[in-house]
Amino acid sequence: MTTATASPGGGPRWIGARGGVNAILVAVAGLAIYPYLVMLFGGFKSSAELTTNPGGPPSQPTLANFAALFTGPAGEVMWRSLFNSLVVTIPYTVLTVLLCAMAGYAFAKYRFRGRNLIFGFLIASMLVPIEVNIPALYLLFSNIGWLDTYQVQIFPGTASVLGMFMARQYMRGIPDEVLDAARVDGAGHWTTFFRIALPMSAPVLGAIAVLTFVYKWSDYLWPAVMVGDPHLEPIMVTLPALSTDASGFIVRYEILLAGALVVTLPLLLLFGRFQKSLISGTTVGAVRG
Amino acid sequence: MAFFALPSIYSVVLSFFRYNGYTTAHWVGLNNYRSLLDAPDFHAAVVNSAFYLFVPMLPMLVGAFLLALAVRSKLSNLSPVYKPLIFVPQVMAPVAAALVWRVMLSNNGVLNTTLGVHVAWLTDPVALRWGVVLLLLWRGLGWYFIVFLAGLSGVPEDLLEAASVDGANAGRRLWHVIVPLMRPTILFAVVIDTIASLQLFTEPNLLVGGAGTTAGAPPSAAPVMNQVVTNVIGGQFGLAAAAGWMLFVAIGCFSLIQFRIFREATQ
Repeated sequence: MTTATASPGGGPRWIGARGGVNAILVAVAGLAIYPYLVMLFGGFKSSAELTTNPGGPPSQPTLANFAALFTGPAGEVMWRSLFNSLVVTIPYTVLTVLLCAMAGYAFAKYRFRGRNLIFGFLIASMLVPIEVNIPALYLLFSNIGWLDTYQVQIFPGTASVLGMFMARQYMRGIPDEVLDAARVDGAGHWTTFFRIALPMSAPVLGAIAVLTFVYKWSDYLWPAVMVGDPHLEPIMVTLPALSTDASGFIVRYEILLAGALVVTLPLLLLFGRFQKSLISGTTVGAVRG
Repeated sequence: MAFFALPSIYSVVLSFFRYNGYTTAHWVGLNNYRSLLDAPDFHAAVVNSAFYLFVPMLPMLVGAFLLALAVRSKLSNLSPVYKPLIFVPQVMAPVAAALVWRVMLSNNGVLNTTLGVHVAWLTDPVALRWGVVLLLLWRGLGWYFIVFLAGLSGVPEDLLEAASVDGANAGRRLWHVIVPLMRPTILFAVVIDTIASLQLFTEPNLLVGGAGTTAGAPPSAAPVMNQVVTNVIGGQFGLAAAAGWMLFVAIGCFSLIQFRIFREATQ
C-alpha cells in the first residue's frame, strides 16, 4: 500500500492529505496569533466598542487608552515601573552573560580538580526548585536588609546554570591552538578570555543575553514575593492593578489590553530580530533529553 | 554547591518550626504539615494543581507531537513560516497573556461571543479552572512543539525510508520507528510539563484573581504555590516551607513514576 509520505510524486491522495495538513497548520497558527490580534485591536478601542466588537479591528481607533496609561496618576506608576523593569533587567542580563561566559570558559578550557564533579552538582542544583527555596531566601534577604530593593531583583539568579551549560558547550569548540597562540604572544589569562574567547563566543553569548532578558522582563513570582514597596516594583507586578478604575474594583479591559501591548512590544521586537536563538534556546535541555 | 543547597536544607528545618521571622522559633514537629493537611484551602489547592497537571497534559503533548510531525513531513511546504507562528504565544509574558485572556474570557469577550455561549469563565467556580487550562494550552503548545521538532530531527530519514521500503505504512512507521526513537524527548516533555504545572503560580492568579490586586485566585482555582507564597508574605515561614516541601516531594514522586514507566516501556 502506498502512503502519502511515501509517494511525493503526486496523485489525488497525496494532494488531499497535503491540503488537510496545511489547513490544520493554518488553523493552529491562526489560533496562536489571534490573542495577539485581540490585544492589538483592543488597545485602540473605546470601552463601548470593546463590548460590542471584542475581536475585530477597531472601527474608530483611539489613542485614549495609551493616554490614560501614560498620563496622570496611572502614568506616574507606569513610567516608574517601566523604568524599574529596565533598571533591573539590563544589569541582570549583563551580569548573567558575564558570569556564564566566565564559568563556561573555566569549565570548557581549564583542567582543575573536581571539574566534572562541580559541573555535575551545578546541573543537579537546577532540580532544586523555587517552591522549596522561597521561604528560606525570603528570610535570608530579610536578614541582610535586601527586601524591597533593586539588588534583590538584580543579583539572585544571575549564576544561571543553563546559561553556563550553553556557554561551556560552545566554548569547547574554540580550538586550543588559538588560545595557546595568544598566550605565546604574551597574553595573560584575562586578556585571552576578554580578547579571544569572549569575541569568539559572541553567538552563544548573544543567545544567552536574549533569553535572559526575555525571562527577567517577564518574571512575576520573584518580584511579587520579594518587593513590597510600590516604588520599586517592576511593570509585571504593577500592570494588573493599573487598569482598575478609581474605586479599585472595576477592571477597564481596554486599558488592560493597551498595557499588555506595551509590555509585549519589546519582547516581540526581540523575537523578530533574534527568532532563531530564542526558539533554539528553549530546546537546549531537550536535545540532551 | 553549599550556596545552592543551603536554602533547601534551611527550608526543611523551617518546616518543623513555627517562626514569624523575628521572635524566637518554636519547634512544632509535624504540626505544620498536619495543619496544612487539615485545611480545606490546602485540599482545594491540591485538587486545582492536579487539575492543571492532568487536564491539559494529554491534549497539549499529543497536539504538539502531531504538529511537529506535520511540519516535519513532506506534507507541508511552509515549515519555516509555521514554526515561529506556532511558537509565538510563548513570547508573551505570562502576566500579559493572563490579562489578555482575562479580557477574552470576560462576559462580553471574544470566546463567549464567537461560541454564542454565556459562560462566566472568570467567576463561576467550576468554569474558572477551565479558563486557566485554555490559557495554559495556548501558551504551552508552541514550546512542546519546538521540543518535539528538535527530537524529530534526531530520527534518521533513511531509517524511515527503509521501513517504508519494507512495507510499513505511515501509522506503523510512527508507532514502531518514530515513537521508540523519540522516547527520551517524550519523557523530557512529560517531566518538564509535570514540574511546570505543579509550580504554576502566575497564570491562575492573574487570570481569575481579584481585580488588579495581588489578592490572587479564589480557593476554587488557586494552585498549591499560593500556599507557599501567601504564607511567606503572611510571615508563616514554617507553614510556607512545609507546603513547599510537600509540593517538591509530589513533583519528585511523579517524575520517578514517569521515569519508571518509560524505562519499562523501553524494555
